Formats: sequence, C-alpha cells, structure tokens
Amino acid sequence: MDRSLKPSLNLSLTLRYSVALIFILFILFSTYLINMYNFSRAEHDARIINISGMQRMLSQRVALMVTKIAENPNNQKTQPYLEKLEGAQTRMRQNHEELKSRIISESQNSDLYQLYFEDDGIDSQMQHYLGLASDFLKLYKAGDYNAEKAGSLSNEITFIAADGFLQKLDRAVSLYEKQAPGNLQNLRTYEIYFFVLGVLVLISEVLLIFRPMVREIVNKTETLSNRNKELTEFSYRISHDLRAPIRSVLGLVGIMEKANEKGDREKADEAFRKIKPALMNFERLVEDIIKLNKMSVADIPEEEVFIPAVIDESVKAVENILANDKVQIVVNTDIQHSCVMQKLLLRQILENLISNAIKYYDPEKEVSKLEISAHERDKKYIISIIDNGLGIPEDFRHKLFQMFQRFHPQKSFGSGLGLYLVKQSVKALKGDIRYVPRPDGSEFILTFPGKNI
Amino acid sequence: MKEILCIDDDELDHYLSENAIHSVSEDIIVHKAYDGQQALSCLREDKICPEIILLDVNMPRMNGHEFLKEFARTHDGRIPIIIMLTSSDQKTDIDLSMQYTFVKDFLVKPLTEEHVKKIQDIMESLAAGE
Repeated sequence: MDRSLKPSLNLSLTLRYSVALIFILFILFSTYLINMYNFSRAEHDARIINISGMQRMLSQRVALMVTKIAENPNNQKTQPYLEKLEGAQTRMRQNHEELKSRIISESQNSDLYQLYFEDDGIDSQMQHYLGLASDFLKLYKAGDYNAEKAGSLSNEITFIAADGFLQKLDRAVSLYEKQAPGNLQNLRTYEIYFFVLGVLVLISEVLLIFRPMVREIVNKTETLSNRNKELTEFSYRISHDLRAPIRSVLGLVGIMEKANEKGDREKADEAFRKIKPALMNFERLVEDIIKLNKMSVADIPEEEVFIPAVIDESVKAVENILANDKVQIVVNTDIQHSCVMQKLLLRQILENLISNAIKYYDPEKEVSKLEISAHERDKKYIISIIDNGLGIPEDFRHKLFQMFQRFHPQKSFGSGLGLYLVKQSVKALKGDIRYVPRPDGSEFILTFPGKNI
Repeated sequence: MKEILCIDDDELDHYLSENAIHSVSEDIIVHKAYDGQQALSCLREDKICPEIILLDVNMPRMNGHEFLKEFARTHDGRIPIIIMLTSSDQKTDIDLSMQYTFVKDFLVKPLTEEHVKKIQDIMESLAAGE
C-alpha cells in the first residue's frame, strides 16, 4: 500500500548520498592539496632559510679568501684560494638573485623588502661587495697585478664583511625564520575550516541519510512482521473456519442416516433442513476469503466516479441481496463533482457497512434507520454512516477491525471478515475509518483523499 | 452425569452436541451459552451447576481462552470438569487450555456418541479417584 512512497525515498536517499559523497570527496581532495602545498611550502621555507644562512657564511668566506690571497700574492698556494673565491663569489651572486626576485614577487611592504632595498640595504651592499670581489679577482686573472690596489681592495672587503654587512645578512636569516611559521599559520586556519566542514557533512549525513534509513528499515521490518503475524493468524483461522462447517454438515448427515435407520422421519427432516444454511454460510466465508486475496494481489483500476452515484448503487445492491424491508435508508450529500478513484474499493466498503447496519438492526426500536451522508472538504471526502441498530459493546470496540471477530452471538451470520475487509480497502484508498459510538446505535466515519478531475 | 453446559457461538454445533448427548442418555440436561460472557453470567446468576462444561475456543466477545482465564480467577465453589470442544487442533490452543487442571480433555468437533461415552469414562475414573 505504501508502494508509491518507497521509490521516492530511495531516490532522495540516493541523491543525498551522492551529495554527501561529493562533499567528502571535495574535502579529501582539498585537504590533500593543502597538505601538498604545506609540504612544498615548508620545503621552500627551509631552502630559503638555508640560502640566506649560506649568504652569511659566503660573505665571510669571500673576505677570508681575499685576505689569504692578499697576504701571499706570489705564492703558488694562492691558486686554490682564487678558485675558492671565485666559486664563493659566483654562488653568492646566484643566491642573491634568487632571494631578491622572490622578495620582489612576494611582498613589497615587508621588513625583508626594506632590509634589502633601503638605502644602503643588503642589495646595494651586496652589489658593491661582489663588485669589489670581482675587481680583486680581475687583478689576478688579467695578469696586471698591482699590490697596492690588491691591498686596498682587500682592506675594503674585510672592512665591509666585518662591519654592518654581516649583521644585515644575519637579520635577513632571522626574518626568514620568523616568516616561515606565519605561512604555516594560514594553512592551519584552512585545515580547521575543512575539519569543521567535514564534521558538518558527517552530522548532516547522520540526520539526512542514516536516520531516515534506519527509520525506514525499522518501519518496514515492523510492517512486515505485522503482516506476517496477520497472515499466520489468517491461515490458522482459515483452516479452522473451513473445516468447521464441513464437519458440521457431516455430523448432520450422520444424524440423518441414524434417524433413517430407526425410521424417525421427523428427526431426519430436521437435520436435513439445517444442511442448506450451513452450506450457505460456508459459501459466504469462501467468497470473503477470495475477495480478501484478490484485494491484496490485484491492482484495482482507478476510474472516474461520482460518489453519490456509488452510494446509491451500493444501497440498491445490498437491499436486493438482503431483501431489506426493516431499515429505512436516507442518503444526503452535497458533492457536486466527479473524482478519480478505485471505485471497487469504495463499493466494497459501503456495501459491507450498509449490510452490517441492516443485519444488526435493533428489532426493539420502532423505526430502524440508516443515514448516509457524503461531503467534500479540503480535497477530502467524508462519508458518515449512522444507524440506530444494536451498536457495538464498549469492550469489543478495539477488536472491531480485526479478522474473525463477531460481536453479536446468536446473530452470527457473518464470516467475521467483513470489517477487516473494510479496513483493508480503506487502507488501499489511503484513507481512514473510525467508529463512533452513539447512544442509539453506531456511526462509521470514512475519510479518503480524492483526485478531482 | 446429569447436567452439561455447552458454550459455543454456533447454533448448529449446539444442535449436533445435544443430539450426540441425548443419543447416549435422554436424561442429561443440556444448557446452552453462545459465548464466554454469557456462560459466566449463566453460571453466576442462574446458579446452574453443570458437572461438565463443553467449551469452544473461537467465539465472539469472549473466546474459550478468555473464558478459562476469567473462570479460573473468579469461580468459587466446586469447579466443574471442562472439556474443550473445538474445530481447532492447533498445538497452541491445546497447550493453552490444558494448563488448567480442571480442563480434562480436548475434543475435535463435532461431538459424537463416542466422545460422550469417553467423557462418561473420565467422570467415572475421577469419581473412583476421590
């Protein structure tokens, strides 16, 4: 009966799951990217700190080499020093270009930028220092060695190296060191954002996917186990109720046989007269069982119906079968339009309720009445069936719509399936049925949604 | 054996039971009740004292099991022997009713002369045991 609900819930769960998976994928991917960026950034920072430290060391090495060479101008030993000096000077220039371009590309307002490019900053001092070193080297390479010039260049180089230049390079290193954790701090903030986002996705997964899914499973299991219980009860009752009338009829036949043997014609006739009603009851029961099975298996077609007309048809059908001459039936309705619905179900419900009202009329009342009213309110149809019959004792109302319940001993013509059938039909119509006791009888209120044309 | 109370919702079953009982002995008085509640009020208000109660299980209003429970709880005085007489031979039905000491047998409908004779035997052996 809730077949229409299942696929849509499945679909929406699938949709929600897909969205959640996309989110999780996004978070995983982003975290991966951030981590990768983090690593390369940390690597880069380490390298920069390393290079800036190397500059500090190279500035001192240049000065040392220059001093050594100047002390022994003609010694054979100067050759390796010259090579070392040239290597240090080249390296220092390359490093400087790398650091400089990075500072320019990153930020023009930082302390580092200022340290490099202020008047007499690292950049100008470096150019000057490296210029002096290369002038010094040229003296030896070109072969026009001039001791005096070499001495003054050497003095100037060592002076600069020992003076402010070293402190500036020192300061650059510490600025680089300070900057590195700052870079990481930004990334940490992103990581926190993604962590929070991940937690939110998990929470919404629990609320929007897990919970409805569990609820759905629990509901379905419950419905299934109820249905199963009902079926077990049903098959038990069926076997019981089918066997009973057959045995009874066999009993009657046995009485007839014995009476005939004894020549008791009266007794034989008495037993014989009881056979037909017993078999008719049996047939009614089988019919009800067949109806019940049909209803759960077959899909009853929807058709265009005018509800007041269906009520009239049902009343006529029941009155014909029961040869009703005891109960006055009144129908009033303000329904104007036709609607689309499963007409057969409505007829089954109405015929059951009307025939109950006729079967269980109260012979002690002067006039027996049955009033059927049908109205349309807010796209719902409401049909009320009021009788002044025997009513249903309070203790048994809770069993009203269960299988195989009969409430009027000695008047038990029914199979005990009628109101159970009604309940099943109402369920199939996605409607509701209520029993309302009245001081002089019963009222059944049937509500169900209608599709207007 | 003088008085029997038959509790059954089906008039036909009453007819068959009465017939079987009377074929064994015309002298036995047969009382009828159509459900458990009516049977209880018969026993209480009309003060009938059957020696045997034949009890159906599946009845409207108050079924056989509900009757047994209520009867065991409220009955004072001498408890008659109860024989289940039903078209059900489900084990649950048998077990549920046979747990009462005063339920002596479980018969499947309809009641026959052989059943009635069997009940008489039970009565005799119980009387001899007392």
